Amino acid sequence: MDDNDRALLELSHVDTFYGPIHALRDVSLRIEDGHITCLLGGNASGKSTTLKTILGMADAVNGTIEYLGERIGGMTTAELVQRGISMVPENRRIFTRMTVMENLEMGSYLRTDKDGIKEDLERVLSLFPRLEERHKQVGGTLSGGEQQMLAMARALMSRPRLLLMDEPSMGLAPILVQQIFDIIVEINQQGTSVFVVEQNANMALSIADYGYVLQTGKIVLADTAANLQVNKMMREAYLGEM
Amino acid sequence: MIHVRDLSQASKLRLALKIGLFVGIAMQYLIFVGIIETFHDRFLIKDVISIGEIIMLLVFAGSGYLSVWALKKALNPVHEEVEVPVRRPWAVGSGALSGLVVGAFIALLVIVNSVIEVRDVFVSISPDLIQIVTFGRGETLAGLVIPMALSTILAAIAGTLYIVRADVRRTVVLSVVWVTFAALISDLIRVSLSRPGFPVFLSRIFTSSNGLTVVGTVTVVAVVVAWIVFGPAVQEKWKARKSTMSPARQRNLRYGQWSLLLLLLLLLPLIVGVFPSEVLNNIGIFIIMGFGLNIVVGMAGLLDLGYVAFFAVGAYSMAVLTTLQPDIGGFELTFWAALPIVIIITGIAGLLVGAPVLRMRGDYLAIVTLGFGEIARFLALSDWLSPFIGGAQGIIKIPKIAIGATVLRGPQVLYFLFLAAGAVAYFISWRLKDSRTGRAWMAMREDEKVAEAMGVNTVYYKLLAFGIGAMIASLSGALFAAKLGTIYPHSFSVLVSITVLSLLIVGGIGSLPGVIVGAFVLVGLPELLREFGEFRLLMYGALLITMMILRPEGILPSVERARELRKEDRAQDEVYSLDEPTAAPATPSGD
Repeated sequence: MDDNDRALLELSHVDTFYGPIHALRDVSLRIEDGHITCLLGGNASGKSTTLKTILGMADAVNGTIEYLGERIGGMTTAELVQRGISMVPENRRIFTRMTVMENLEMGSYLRTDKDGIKEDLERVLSLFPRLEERHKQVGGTLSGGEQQMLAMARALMSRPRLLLMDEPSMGLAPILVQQIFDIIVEINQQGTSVFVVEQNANMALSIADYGYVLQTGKIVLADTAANLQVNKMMREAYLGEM
Repeated sequence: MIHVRDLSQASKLRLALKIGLFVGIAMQYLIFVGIIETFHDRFLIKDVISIGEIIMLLVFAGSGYLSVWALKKALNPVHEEVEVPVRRPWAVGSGALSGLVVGAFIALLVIVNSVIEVRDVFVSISPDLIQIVTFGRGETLAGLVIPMALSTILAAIAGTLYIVRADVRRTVVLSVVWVTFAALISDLIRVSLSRPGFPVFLSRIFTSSNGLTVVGTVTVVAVVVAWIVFGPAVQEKWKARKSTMSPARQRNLRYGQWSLLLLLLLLLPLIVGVFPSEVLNNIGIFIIMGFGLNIVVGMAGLLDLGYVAFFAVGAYSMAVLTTLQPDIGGFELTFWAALPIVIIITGIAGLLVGAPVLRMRGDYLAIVTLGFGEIARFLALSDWLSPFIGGAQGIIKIPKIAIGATVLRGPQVLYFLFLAAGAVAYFISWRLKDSRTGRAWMAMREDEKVAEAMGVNTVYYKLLAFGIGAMIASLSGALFAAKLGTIYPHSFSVLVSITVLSLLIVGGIGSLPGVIVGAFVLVGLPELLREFGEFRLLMYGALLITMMILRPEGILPSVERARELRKEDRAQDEVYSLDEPTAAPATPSGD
């Protein structure tokens, strides 16, 4: 990683607490503009907390969070969405009782540029043709894979510069996981930076440019994805090789 | 692969017995709480059959219908392409057996009552009641046999009905439903038909002073039969004709329909007369509140059980501002001058209730708002506030509403105010529903956290929902105070909150026409059925349970609710999504 470059988003020495629980300890990481960065780690390692901290849903006690050089700690989620950060939540969490179209409209909730919204709608529907077929259907009646696609499409509707994804592979069949990750690459190629939090290290590293490994709230490894894939400790602990 | 599924004869019999026992116990309950006797005073068909009797007969028939339904369920435990039918002997047999059990319960009651004095414990078991349940035979052998025989035969017929052609079944069921309904509102029909301009004999032919006449009954049945036989064809033809019309004509037709409806609404109080207009106004109070609560609960998903508080604040602030009672208020404003102030005060009250509960959801919110509702009533009752709002004595001398120099008197005139207020509340709800605000509420109702992540300011929208909901309730409260001229704290009990919420559920939560239907069913019907009074809560409970089982989306559901609750859609969808098992609904979780 080149330190002279300004990162799109940078966490420096961040500590986050949930009541008495010290969830993140001195976490520093960079999300590079135009790249895919992944954050790996097992259960309860603090992956989701990192996302929540970025989005202002959990408060960082120490350290700074900078987005495009601006300190964003303490901003509301709405302010961050307006600045171009968007999230695909864990477990998809689409609006199950609203139609596919209404879900997508919620994604562009803060936008007022009608033409731009229309343009983006066409873009995401071409990215996820399945959603176009089902645009009138209620979210809850979609299959798991389609729900994941809807959650991604919804997040893209705010035309984000940075897309945060929380465990996109969770609960999906392998073939669907492959599909979802292919689409993540496509989204990235269209110019959106992606930060993906995953347990499925193999899959995440196969598409990412940079990777971080989180263990009980601490960053224990940080490198390019290519290096991580051959890292000995990484291979033993997360890639399932002995 | 077709499985041959069948049950042993013993288990089929057991099933019928079980249903018979259930229904028999339910029947005993109706007898013991006095429903049968209370409703015996009113005729369904003059001098032929009373409402109490028809309830019993319907329960008899119901047991047969239920037992065959249960048998069919047992034969088809999972949905498969080939349905195992209930064969005719079993339909008749199961029905008859369960009916026999229900009848036996009545016979048992008669026997036990002849040996020991049941009335010592259960006051409802009077000699009159024994006469009713034995169909006038009393404690004789015939009195034991007749209920059992009637029950067996009716249940067997009802059981057979389950397996006959659908249109035959519909004809019978709809006839019974509509005859009962017509009988329940026969007073209303009679009043409406005996207006000046109608020939006198019309009202005499169809209705009597107590229930329908035979002619009236036959007419209702004839209409139902005609509808079933010719209805579909007429509808088809109408649709076909409509589709060939030019868009302009279709639009005109729609305008025509709307103006016809408007005309009907405007003429309604003249058509139905004074007493029914009064009933309409009472329904209006609840329709307006229903629209308001629908915003809070139906759109924003905030379960508010203390909605009566806003109704009370509206009524009380109107009363204080306008009353001529010397020791209270002293403002003596007119209704129209006070109205904007009342709306603002209540809106602020809505925000005050909303603010502390912002962080609460679901059950917690319900409990806390329930508390707020009671607090409002206790404050109204308190000695502490009585110098300002009258305490237990309430507030009297609230002047009638006047427009210019004309004082609006009588329910037939006041009706128009309720109509106008209802229209305003309807319009606000309707505009909000598809607006950006409505969307934000909907998203918040679905998943607050995610809505926030989309950029929805949940604090603002929650307060907005409480505020608008409160303001609409204040309209209702203000009209309520001005209509009665006096208000007392006891008018604002938790029962009001429950009624409004129930009417939303019965009508179909989130649906605006549903609010109207729900209010007519839950407020209008009891007003027309004086006997209902003491069983009101029982009826509410029974109705709510029945609705939840048979039609959870409500009588007139909103499109979204129907969508999410309709099982066929889901079943159909499973066929499409073969790629993987449908994922479990997302549950929020974190590291």
